[in-house]
Amino acid sequence: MNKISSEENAVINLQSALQQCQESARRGYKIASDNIKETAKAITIVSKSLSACLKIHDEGAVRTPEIVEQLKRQFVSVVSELEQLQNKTEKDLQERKIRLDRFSITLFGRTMAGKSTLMEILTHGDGKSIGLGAQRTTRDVRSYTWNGLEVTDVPGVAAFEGEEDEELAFHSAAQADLVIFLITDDAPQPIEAECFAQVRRLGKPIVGICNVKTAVDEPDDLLLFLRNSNRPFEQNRLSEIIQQFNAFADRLIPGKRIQFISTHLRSRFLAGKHQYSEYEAKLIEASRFNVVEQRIISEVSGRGSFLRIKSFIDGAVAPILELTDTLLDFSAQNSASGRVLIGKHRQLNEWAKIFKSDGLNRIDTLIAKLMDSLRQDVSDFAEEHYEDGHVGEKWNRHVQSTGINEKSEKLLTHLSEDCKKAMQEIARELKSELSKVADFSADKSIKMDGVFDAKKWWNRGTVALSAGLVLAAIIYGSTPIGWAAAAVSVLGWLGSFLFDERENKADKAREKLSKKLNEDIDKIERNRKRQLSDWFFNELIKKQVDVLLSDIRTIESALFELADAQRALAWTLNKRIRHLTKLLIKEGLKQVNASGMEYHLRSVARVPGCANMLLIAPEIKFPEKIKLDLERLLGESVWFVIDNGNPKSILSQAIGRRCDRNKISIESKLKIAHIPLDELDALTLTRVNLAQQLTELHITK
Amino acid sequence: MNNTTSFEILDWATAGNDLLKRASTELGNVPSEKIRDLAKQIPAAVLAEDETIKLVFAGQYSAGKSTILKALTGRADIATGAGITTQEAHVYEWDGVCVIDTPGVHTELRPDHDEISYQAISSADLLVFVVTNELFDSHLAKHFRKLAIEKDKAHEMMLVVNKMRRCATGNSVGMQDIIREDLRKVLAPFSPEDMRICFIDAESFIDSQHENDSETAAMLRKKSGIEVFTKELNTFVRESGMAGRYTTALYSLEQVLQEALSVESNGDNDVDALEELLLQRRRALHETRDRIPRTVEKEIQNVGTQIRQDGRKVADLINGNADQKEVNNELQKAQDRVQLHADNCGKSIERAIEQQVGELEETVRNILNSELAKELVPRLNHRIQEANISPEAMGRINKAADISQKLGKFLIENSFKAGGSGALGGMFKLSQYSGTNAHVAVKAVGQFFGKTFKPWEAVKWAKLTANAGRVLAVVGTVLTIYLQFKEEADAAQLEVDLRESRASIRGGFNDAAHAIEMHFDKATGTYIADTFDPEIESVDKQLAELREMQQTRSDLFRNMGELLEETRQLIKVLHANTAKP
Repeated sequence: MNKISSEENAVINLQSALQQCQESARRGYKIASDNIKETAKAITIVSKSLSACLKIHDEGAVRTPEIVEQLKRQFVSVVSELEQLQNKTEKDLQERKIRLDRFSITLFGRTMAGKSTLMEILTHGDGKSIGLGAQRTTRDVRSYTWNGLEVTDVPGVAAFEGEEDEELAFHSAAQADLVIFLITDDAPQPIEAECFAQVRRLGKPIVGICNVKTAVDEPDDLLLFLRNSNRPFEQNRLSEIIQQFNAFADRLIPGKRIQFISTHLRSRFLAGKHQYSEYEAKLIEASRFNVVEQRIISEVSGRGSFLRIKSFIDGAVAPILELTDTLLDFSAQNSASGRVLIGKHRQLNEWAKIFKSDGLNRIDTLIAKLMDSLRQDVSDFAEEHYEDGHVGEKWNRHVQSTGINEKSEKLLTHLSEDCKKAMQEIARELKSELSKVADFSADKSIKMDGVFDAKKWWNRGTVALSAGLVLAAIIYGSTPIGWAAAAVSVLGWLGSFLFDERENKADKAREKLSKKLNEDIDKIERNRKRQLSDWFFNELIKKQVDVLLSDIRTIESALFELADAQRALAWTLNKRIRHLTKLLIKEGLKQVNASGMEYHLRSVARVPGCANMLLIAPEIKFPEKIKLDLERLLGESVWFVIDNGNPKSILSQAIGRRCDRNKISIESKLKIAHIPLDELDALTLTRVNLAQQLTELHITK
Repeated sequence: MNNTTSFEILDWATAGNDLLKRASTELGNVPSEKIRDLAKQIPAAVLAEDETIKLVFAGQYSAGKSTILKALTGRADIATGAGITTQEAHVYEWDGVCVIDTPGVHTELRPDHDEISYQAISSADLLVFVVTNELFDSHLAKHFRKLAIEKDKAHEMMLVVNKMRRCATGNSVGMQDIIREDLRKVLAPFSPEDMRICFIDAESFIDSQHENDSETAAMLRKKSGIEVFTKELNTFVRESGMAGRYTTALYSLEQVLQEALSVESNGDNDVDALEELLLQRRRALHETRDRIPRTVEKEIQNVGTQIRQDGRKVADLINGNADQKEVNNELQKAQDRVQLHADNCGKSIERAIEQQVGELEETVRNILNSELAKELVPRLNHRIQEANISPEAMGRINKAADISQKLGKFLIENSFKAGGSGALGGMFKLSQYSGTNAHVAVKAVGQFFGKTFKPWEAVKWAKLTANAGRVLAVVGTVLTIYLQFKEEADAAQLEVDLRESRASIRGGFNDAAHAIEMHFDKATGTYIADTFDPEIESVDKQLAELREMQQTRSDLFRNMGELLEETRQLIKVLHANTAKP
């Protein structure tokens, strides 16, 4: 008697709770759609600043066109990825809007875990949807109403080649206010725990069911089962199984564990069937299903209206949280690439300085040598030829016979080759350094596992993961402007020597000729030196070295702009997360009758499904009871960090004992904190993420 | 085994034995101790001495392997439970067959269990793969397919679906048919019809032994399906046992090769990065080495030009109107200037080289300040610490123990200073030491160019006439004669003498300039040979060492990969020629 009335009571409570749920859902929807608008603003700002950069580079002096193209692509892809994500979030919200008045529950679990059986029990179905043990029985997503709740059955997860099914299942779970997660009393598998962790990461509150399976359909099996229906529920066996499942899950997701209720779904299902009417009562009792029912109803009546708001907030937070992490990573990568370029830039400058002075030296030396030998010849030549009528012609021939042209050409070829070799080497070094630094910087990243399918949500491949690398490949692969052939034709002729003055006295004639010859040598020396150094400066320094330098400078600044934009966006999004979390905590405090406590919170951080971190002033005492109530309501841990104004202290409090405060180093300009952490278990990763949200410092190893 | 000709089997066995021998030689002679240890596990021949067939029970953990064995062997001492119960491989005897129980795979929490299981599987003649009625999740499916298809074990495998009473209608024929269909996708390209599949519920059998009601006990026994399973297992051993035994040695080899490949993981980023930095240092050294002779040449050229010009000027003074005293005076002065030039030349060369070395140091500083170097230093520090750990302990921490040891040793030997920020500085600094056995410091330029060089002592005509004064005497004689005999006829002769005299003066100065050039050229050559060449040689040695670390790895990697492929191929050949799965 008592029991029935309490059950009736429960249903009445449920109805009034669902009324409240509708109200809170509207509030939740408002929060989520406001958030979309705010996020859109942030994206617009980034998009604008990036297109401003683009314009500068478009008008800039980059002489390798592919580089500008590549930069454009990088910039555009950042923005378009963001927009895609935004669209998806918006679409999801629209889908939710349609079901605004319905509290929705999704049944989740491996194939054959009993989802469809559960659904049939709730909807008093005919059992057609239940597969007779065959895998992949529920290909479609189907929703039914039960006690005013919308219950959705989805395809099983973790099946062989069942990626599409899995996607459907996760999509539905992401929209749910409550997820019923089913495992069976067979050995739990690691992959089930992986799926479980992913659902929790979405922030979903979970009711866990362990479906005990033993044959009951056949008469002899039924009798055997009813003979001792407690046997399949043997406590030690079941708790060992659940312990095993928790052990798998703990590795993936820290925080509060979920309780699993054991039930024999098949017998509860058969109890409603006509041919088993004889055993109905016995089967219902043996199935222990009423515990499940009560649990679901009490979840909805107890915290249903909070769960509805939470579900909207989580729907907004979970993707942003991951995006923030990703953006910070990209930003760090691009900064690191930028620093590689700065280094290379410096090296190239230094090299160019040396190359210039060495080149001029070589020109000087060659000319000096040639002229020296010509000058040595002057006396003898003058002695022999002061009476010669063809002296001009002979001298010109003599000058040529020193090989001045051949030697000049050879020098230019050498200079050109040295320059080419060095620049190719520098481009190769650049490429190699960039790729190695990208590897190293990836090693330093501390990131929680992603919840979302990276390929579908966030196309990492195209977004600047190694923008620098792509650009370096372009530099390496192309010679900016064709290498000029070093040819004497570009040098022009030396001018020819004319001498027709006659002098009677031998002494005088010889002296005069010597003088004229020396003057001619001076002239040749001046001309040739100028020709060679002009060519050197124009063809090598200006067209090759300076172009490479300017390309590197452009990429350098573009990378930093990209990095800045990504970082700025990440911290803007982080502010959104904090804002949303504040709203959630405020709502939670209201629910546990502690309204007003939120004014004591200086800042908040949250990883959905795991934990909340509250930053409080040193003098604040946060009542333990409120904390416990809040934890129960959220289904997540609540941790406190005392705000003493010292970022290092906050970091070490937040990260906990794995973090040695003395080993933290902070680059305040770049907002980066380096913290040496060796073992990164799920708990540490979560705490690092929370610390990052609180301090607005990108935490790397 | 089908009746293929025994000749083929003999051929196959010969090929198998040859492969085992080659693999054993290849792996037994590598630097890595770990791999050499692994090589010891390679069987000597395809058919081992002992005759017992090894039957391994593998599959998902908690699938009931131990319970099945309990039912099969009737041994009460086999532990069973709901969690991870079996911690190690257990060996039992059943009907003359050696039966091995494994902990199962993919527990994630116990990677050591995976290792034990894989080890047992690789030594199996035949395999019983156990799943529960929940069948395969995607992890287990992949594992199963790897064994059955990639390793071609399907031919030597029986699939057992246990815990059938967990199905709605229990271990019924209808249920079995449904499950067979469910398995189709995971088994492809094999089909359920190709495979030996058994449906059992081992626990029902154990229950039946404790059941008081004999009718119920009989029902439980029947539902357990153990009798059918026992019969099937017997047939399986009889029909496939021999073929299974033939491939066992090769499967062991395959396992060894796979482990060896994972020990020698391909590539090491830190070594690559260090190599890159050393390459850059090498390039800087090379460029400076090439530039120094050019700089020296310029200095020498300058001096030579001046000396020769001086010579020409002085020589030009010698003509019919010359004043002997004045000529002597100028000549003496010019000769003194040559000595001065020689002295200055040494100094300016020194300065020029010092500048080059300064620039080199700046270049190297830039390399050390690069992002790559900054990122690498803490990593190398870490590697050195790692290398200081005992090799045994390291084996547990890091699979790439060998290269870490080598890299650590390399860093310490090459004066990498662990802990400091300038840790790479030691390795990149120009040698500061000079001594008899070590090479001479690059910066000790003065040692090569500081000594006084006397050019006139190297000039032939100056030597012959013993001193500069005698040269003047010769010239003086010519001039005196010229002044005394003003006759036309003599004048022509004198003109010739004067000309020779001028040429001789010019030649003397040219020779002096040449001697200076030769001297400093040689000094430069010696300087480079004594300083830069050893410096570059030592970088080359470092680079070679680093490359060898990587090279032996990648060669070995490739060879082992080829051996693995060959092993798999040989297994497939046997399967293609013998029993169907």
